[in-house]
Amino acid sequence: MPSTTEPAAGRQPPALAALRRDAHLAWLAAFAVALHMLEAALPPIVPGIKPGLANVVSVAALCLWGWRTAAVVSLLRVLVAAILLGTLLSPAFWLSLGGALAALAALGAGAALPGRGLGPVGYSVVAALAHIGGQLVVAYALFVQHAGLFVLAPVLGLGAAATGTFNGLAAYLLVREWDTENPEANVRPGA
Amino acid sequence: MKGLLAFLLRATTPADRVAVVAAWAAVSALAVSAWSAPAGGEAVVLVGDHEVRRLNLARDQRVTVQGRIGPAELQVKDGAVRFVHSPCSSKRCIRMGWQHRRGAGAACVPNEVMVRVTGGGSGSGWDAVNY
Amino acid sequence: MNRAEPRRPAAILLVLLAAALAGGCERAPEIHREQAFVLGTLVEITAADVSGDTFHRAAGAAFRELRGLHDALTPVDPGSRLSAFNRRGHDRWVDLEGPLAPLLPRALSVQRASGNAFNPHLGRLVGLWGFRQPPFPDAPPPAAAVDALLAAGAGDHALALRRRGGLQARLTRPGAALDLGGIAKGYALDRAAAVLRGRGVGDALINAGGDLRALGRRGGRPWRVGIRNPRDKDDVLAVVALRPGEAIVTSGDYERFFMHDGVRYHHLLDPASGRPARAARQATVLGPRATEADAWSTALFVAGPDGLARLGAEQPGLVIDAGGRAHANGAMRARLEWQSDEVAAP
Repeated sequence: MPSTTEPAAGRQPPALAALRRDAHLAWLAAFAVALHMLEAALPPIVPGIKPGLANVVSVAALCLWGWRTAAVVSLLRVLVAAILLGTLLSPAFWLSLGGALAALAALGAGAALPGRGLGPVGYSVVAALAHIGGQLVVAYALFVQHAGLFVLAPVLGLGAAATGTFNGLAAYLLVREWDTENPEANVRPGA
Repeated sequence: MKGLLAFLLRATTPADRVAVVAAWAAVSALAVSAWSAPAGGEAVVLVGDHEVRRLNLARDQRVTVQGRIGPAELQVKDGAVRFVHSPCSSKRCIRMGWQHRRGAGAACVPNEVMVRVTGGGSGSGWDAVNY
Repeated sequence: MNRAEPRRPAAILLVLLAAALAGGCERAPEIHREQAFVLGTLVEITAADVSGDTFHRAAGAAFRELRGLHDALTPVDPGSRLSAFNRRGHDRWVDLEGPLAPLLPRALSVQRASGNAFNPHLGRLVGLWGFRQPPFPDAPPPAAAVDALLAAGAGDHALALRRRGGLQARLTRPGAALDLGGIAKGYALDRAAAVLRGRGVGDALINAGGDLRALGRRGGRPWRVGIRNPRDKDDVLAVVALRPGEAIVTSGDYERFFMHDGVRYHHLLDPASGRPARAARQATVLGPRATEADAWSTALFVAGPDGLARLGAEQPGLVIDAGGRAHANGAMRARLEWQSDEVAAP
């Protein structure tokens, strides 16, 4: 799949561009997994609300390399982290997967918006809300078939809005940092 | 402060700002509506005039509370609550049966124990029942 | 798309969102609630649109007032003002003290207007039937004992009042003894309402064991009360929206009763027969004062559906007769939002 960033001056052969992209992917996924593990190791400040640091990488990947890259990074992160943490196929894994899929769907919808559209902050907030929405749905469908579960929604929603906002700003910084390597990156933060 | 504002403006597209505001508005509205009328069935148990337990009606359980003359046992099942054991002589509280509607409750007057369904439950079109 | 355009749709979206949020929200008042076991039952006060501090102070004062009333009017305690009056009031004029002074004239007034369907001095009969306090007996008293009390004037007009400086009262027949069970709860509701109002609570619903008095409204709407089906606790017959200050009181055959040989013996005695009234299962009255509403609901229960005519056109009344059919006067029919499938609307 062609990268969304076509090499500008100095054309590179397609194979090299692909290799560069795959290297980025692997590195991004590793970075995301590392952030996820770090977060898992730290005690939660508020139970049930995690900063979701690894999402910063996904959003940055989306802005720099497009949705499919972000999807691969997200899903790899969920899978690898579960393996490393020993939670593969456990309830926690399914919740994580459900949240990631929902977030990706939201990001895809966001990316389809016409015009200049969303930047890292907007994507991050939208993805964060979709993430906890997806997790609540998975939890309800698979584990807790009581509507009482959704009592948590308001608190989780506020947490998601907050973490989404802050993660978004972090993603913006990350993109700006990486953007110097990719002048064709498709994010143009508001002037 | 000005620097922060400038940064925020630089970091967001116009669509971003709409998305962020909409997200916060939606989440805040959800929180406000939930906290003025909590979802999910819940019952509150009172002894005398103060609350001693809150029961989640979504979870089947049996609890015992100490009343003025003895222990009273309450049962939660299928989103409703009732008295099952009481030290009173008339056992009228037990005969009041299952309570599930918001605002409904059962009380044991001699033992000064009362359970009332708050929030959630099936909504009713009234604030109290006259009998 | 140039730079300027994205701002306009964004602004429109924001305005729409704000409008949707503002319009969609129902005005939900701040609700406070307190309860106490007093007057031999559970009393709950729910208030709207008032600060927590104001409410809790007012509710505390209201409960204290109710405890005082209970202590004065209970027939169970020989030290109560009521018991003291019953000991001294036969063939002798007694000064009325405490709540007896405001209450007895109003009780007498309803006794006359109701044709003695409401009778405030059935105390000895109530004692004979055993309904003072649980546990209740499981068999009726001997017929001879009931007839003897009737012959001694228990169910007649046997209470006289006069003014000598203050108010004085006298029991004129030996079988009579004051028992204000048919009016005291209503009076307590009125007193509690006055205390709440005096302490800054203008919007509240007071529930004393199922009889209610409203103050003001609940946020943007009136307080709404469901009337229960006398034979099915889970079935609400109808809902009534109480006007500000209005009371709703019900007398039913299911509050204090025992079954014997398949017959229900309950505590609402017919003064004419000295035995449980048989014309109705339940009677409900609305009115601006809970005191009168309570006494009239007792009278209406005893009189049955025929008693509706005595209520007058202004006072809404609902009777569920002995067969389970609902009867109501025009004033009540205008107020009822009928809900039940089990009982047909009147």
